[in-house]
Amino acid sequence: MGMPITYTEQELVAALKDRNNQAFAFLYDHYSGALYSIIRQIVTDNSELTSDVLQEIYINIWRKIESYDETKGRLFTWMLNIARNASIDTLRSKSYQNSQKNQELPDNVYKGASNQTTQPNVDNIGLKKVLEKLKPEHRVLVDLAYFKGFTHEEIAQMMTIPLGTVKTRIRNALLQLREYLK
Amino acid sequence: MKEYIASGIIESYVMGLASESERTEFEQMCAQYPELVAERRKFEESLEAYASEQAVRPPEEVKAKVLKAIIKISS
Repeated sequence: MGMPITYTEQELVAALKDRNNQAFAFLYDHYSGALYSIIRQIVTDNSELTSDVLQEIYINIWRKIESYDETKGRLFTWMLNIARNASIDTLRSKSYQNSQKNQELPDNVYKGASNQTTQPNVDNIGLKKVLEKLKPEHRVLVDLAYFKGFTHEEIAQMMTIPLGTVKTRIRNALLQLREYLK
Repeated sequence: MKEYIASGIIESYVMGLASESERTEFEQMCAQYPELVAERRKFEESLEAYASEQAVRPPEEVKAKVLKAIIKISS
């Protein structure tokens, strides 16, 4: 077991690039909860699948740590994006889609408050909780872009609104999100 | 620069929603303007703080699986 070890972000990155297992265990202990939370917000069922995604994410972090560039952002930002991408890939995978077929999907997913009480509490954690504070027309777009992984172009087509409007609304919504995070 | 900072590009970049060309431009701007980097870090820090606050404990057995897997990769 030994003494508990703490790292500054720089030390942690250097140790990870050095392939230090202890640093990796620290990375797991410190960030797995936050990353697992984002997985659960995207892959919204509490199956074994979410554990598999978490495992896959940490293996990816280990494999790709050499490519992490601190001039582009903090370590957590980099990991969060890996987690989001892996979760969206899972959401789109055949096996996930098939597993969802047997379950009735509510047809009012985007109708807002009415389904809050009937959804399991995964809708009420993390950024999704903050999303609830946005205007519905903003919320839908952030949900499609951030949590479902659609491009701005795809969203413009789906919602039949101009691409410029999609972009502006998403940017405005993110600025509001920022205020709520403070 | 003030306008660029307030445009939502920082949030869009950090959250992975910026397009390829927006990303390239943003990274070039960051290399030139330290105040932009400072604003980006501020947002990254509040995002991280919020995400940690909203953490969900994963099932216990995942840690052992992950550590076993990376030892296998490394050897």
